[in-house]
Amino acid sequence: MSPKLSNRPPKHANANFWRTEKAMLWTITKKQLLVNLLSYRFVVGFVLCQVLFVLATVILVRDYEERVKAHGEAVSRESKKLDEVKVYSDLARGMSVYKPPARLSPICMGFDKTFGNQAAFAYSRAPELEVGRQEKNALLVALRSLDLVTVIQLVLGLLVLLFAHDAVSGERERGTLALSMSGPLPRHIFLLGQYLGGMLTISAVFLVGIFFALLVMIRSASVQLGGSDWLRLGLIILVSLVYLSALYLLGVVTSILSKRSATALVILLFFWIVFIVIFPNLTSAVASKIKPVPARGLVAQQTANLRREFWTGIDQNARKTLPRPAHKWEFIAGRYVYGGDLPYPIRLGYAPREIMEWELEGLQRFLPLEIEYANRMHEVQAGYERQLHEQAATARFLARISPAWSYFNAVSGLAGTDAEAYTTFLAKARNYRLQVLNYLSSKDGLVSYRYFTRLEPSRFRTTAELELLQKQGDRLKQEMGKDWDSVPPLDLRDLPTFDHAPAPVATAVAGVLPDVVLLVFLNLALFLAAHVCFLRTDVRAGG
Amino acid sequence: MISDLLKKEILEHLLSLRLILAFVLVIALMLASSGLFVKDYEAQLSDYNLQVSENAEYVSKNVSSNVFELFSWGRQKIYRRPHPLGFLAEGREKDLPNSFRVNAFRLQGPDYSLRGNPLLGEFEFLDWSFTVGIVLSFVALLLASDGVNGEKQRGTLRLILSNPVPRARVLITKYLSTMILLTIPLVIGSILGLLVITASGRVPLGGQDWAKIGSIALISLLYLSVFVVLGLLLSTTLKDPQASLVVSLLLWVVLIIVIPSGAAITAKLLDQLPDQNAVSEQADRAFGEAVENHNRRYPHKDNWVMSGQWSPGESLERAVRAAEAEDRVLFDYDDQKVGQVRFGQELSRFSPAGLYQSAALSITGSGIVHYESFVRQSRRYREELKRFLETSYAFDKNYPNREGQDQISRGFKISYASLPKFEEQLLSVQEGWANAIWDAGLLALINVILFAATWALFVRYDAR
Repeated sequence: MSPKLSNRPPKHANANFWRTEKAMLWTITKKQLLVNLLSYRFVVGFVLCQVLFVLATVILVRDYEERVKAHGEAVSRESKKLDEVKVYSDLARGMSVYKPPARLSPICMGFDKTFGNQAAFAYSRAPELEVGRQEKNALLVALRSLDLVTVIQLVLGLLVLLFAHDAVSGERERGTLALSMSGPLPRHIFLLGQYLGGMLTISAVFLVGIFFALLVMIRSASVQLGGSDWLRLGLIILVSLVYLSALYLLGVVTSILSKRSATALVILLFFWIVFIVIFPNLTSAVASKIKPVPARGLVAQQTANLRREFWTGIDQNARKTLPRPAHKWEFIAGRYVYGGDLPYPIRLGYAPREIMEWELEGLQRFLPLEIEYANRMHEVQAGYERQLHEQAATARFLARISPAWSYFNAVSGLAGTDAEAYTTFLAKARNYRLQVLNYLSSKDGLVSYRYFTRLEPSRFRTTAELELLQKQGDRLKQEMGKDWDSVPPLDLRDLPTFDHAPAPVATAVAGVLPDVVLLVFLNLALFLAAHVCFLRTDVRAGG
Repeated sequence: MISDLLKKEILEHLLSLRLILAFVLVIALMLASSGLFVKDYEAQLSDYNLQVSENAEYVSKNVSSNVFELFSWGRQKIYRRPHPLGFLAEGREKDLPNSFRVNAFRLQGPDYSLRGNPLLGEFEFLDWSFTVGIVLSFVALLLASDGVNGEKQRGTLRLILSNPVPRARVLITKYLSTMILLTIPLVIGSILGLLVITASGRVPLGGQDWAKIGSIALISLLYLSVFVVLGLLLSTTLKDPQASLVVSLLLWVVLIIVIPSGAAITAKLLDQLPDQNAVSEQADRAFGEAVENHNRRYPHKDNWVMSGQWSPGESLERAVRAAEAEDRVLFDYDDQKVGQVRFGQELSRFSPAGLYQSAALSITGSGIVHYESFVRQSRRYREELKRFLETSYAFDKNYPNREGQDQISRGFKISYASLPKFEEQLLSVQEGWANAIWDAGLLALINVILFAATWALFVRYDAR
């Protein structure tokens, strides 16, 4: 490069100034790029990263396929269950909604590996924060996990620091820095060239890797990326570059400030280990200190107390004040099923009027009470969950100190695998439960005969009437009607459907904006710092 | 001479930036994690005690009222105790299931009584095995990776070898000095950490525990030694200290992060579990067959369909057989789940970090090892309950006696004291070593092989 420099005209014509400056910049960039590309670390790092990207994606996509399959099975099981609903209690007593695996989860698993994809609820129970239901084997939590973001965060992060640590100090040690500065080369051009050359190298490793990863991903039939997914993907790639650039600049600043590149490397490696590898452990520890949550056992105890209170009420009231009227078992037919010890039935095919009325009274007294207690228990749980959220928000806020973890926040937000995505799903499921309860009320299917029987009240007959029929031979059998198994299922076509669509891109972007802005700002600040430090640096070797 | 060389090596590194940073980091981490652990353990223990006493209350209330409630309809809750040595190797203790609902016929679960905050994300606790496994192994490579070629570059290697010192001795001193340097922060950190823990008075440590701590220290040294030798090997193989540093760092990332992380997901894909619903159906079938078999062998007019639990008017023998048949299927499935995790661990043994981690977990008896032992003990406890019921049941076990039910309920009195109770026992250090011996042996073997390779290369090394 020195011959080129010497070829330059000694004085700049004003019109040519920018062109030559651009030319200089390009020369420096090219030089840095070539130096990097021909280096040992590039060859080793490039090969390692490509192998990692491809291997990780192959495994992650297979895993994604499994999860999609499991999700499909669960959804079809649930819809089969809906097809067999014969009385409204079947619906009220238990439903599940499912969250499809995030389409970009192979890129960033985020919280998808922690939380389940199922929210189960009933009239008597609101969906709760549940862990590990998406995984067939929840014990796998004992092992570490891997996704592409981890590869970028850790491995590419390390590679960037390895490239950056001698960007300036290395040249100083070799004496080439003094040589470059002896020409008419402005320092900021040198710095910018150095930065561009380094970033081009890193981008080459990253983009080739992500290209291979995407090739593997789109080859799979299960991975169906829509327009918005590509947009998210583009943003993830962009944010990744911003992250890598911040690390590179950090490396350059350290390199300028350190006399020897070995020192710079040691400092950067310790930075890497503290701020990238062990940092989230520290922030969660600190967050648990700042915002402690009550012991889980206390919450469980409160819930258990409420439950006990409810059951004591049932025991004392139902059994004592609502004695079952005299009845004959032969007049009762069709799955007389009780909900545990609850004083009202789940399904009842046929019964005399007295029994029916008695059952309805039990239902009227206790089902609203049960819903009330469910809501009270849910309040306890929701209060606890709020505290968990506050703690997690504190940890997330603290994590922003490290570029690697604001990067993680941003990517998981964009991929739709952050904790927010799960809690939104949970909130939607809670809302859906209320919708279903409303639907049941609108169908008069909750606190009425329809909850447990298909027999119309106009057809109820008293025991005395039935006894008369019994004497007329077949008439009783006709009256009592069909067997439960042949009762047709209810028409649930107007049941509200659950909307499981992930948050739109705009919401996701708004959510991750603080993290992205922070990263961009960090880039600017570090570049400025690099510039200031480099202007004052002594370019001579061995100073 | 060897002591001179050793002194030189140690002094040369002792005041270097990397060692100072490493000292500060390791000691700070060990101290911080001990402090955090004490608080955490206290909270967990009070949670555990609360839940255990709640269960005891439930049992003592029901013991006199109804034999069916206690042995068949109701469920006691039994809990895994928090591990007092979680600061050594935590192994995601808190995220693993920690309780079962149990009676004489059923072991239901495993359940979580969630102790951590899942919204914080999945992070390993900063236990000591994490500090050693990740931070100190990193420092080991950092120190060793320019041990030979760095000296060559500076020219000091020639100087040393010009003295009448055997090459083997030079190599051994290099190795020993690095090991000593690594041991210093480990020892200081451990002593300070243990002081924090014992001074708090909240974590009682017994003889077993000290043996476990000692064993972990031993394995930690074995593990760190692998990285020291690896660093020396690379530094003998590669000419440029920069190159050997880069290669060793990238190798470190693969060994410490990539292999253990990839192992989990690979295990999940290679060792597929059957579907949960298929298993429940299979269990139901097994249950039904056992009931039918019994009904054929002991025909009786009251041999109805079985209620699914042992209820008044049902044969005890039949309920026991049915539960056993069902258990065989369900327990097998649960074992497969543990097996999948174990398989993941096997895969991670391709890296010394995996070997070290599983050895540390085995010896501490925490993480998945703890869970496994808890499951074993829970099953044994269910067996005990069943045997207790069978031996103290003074009525005909094969033929149900609908009329005599009141007599059974009234005549079957159990005292709370005589009822077997569940208390989880932690694994002993001997049991731990029985599991860890292979991991430790493999670590030692890797050491020997790498050292032999380094030695062979160093003997012929061109010091110029």
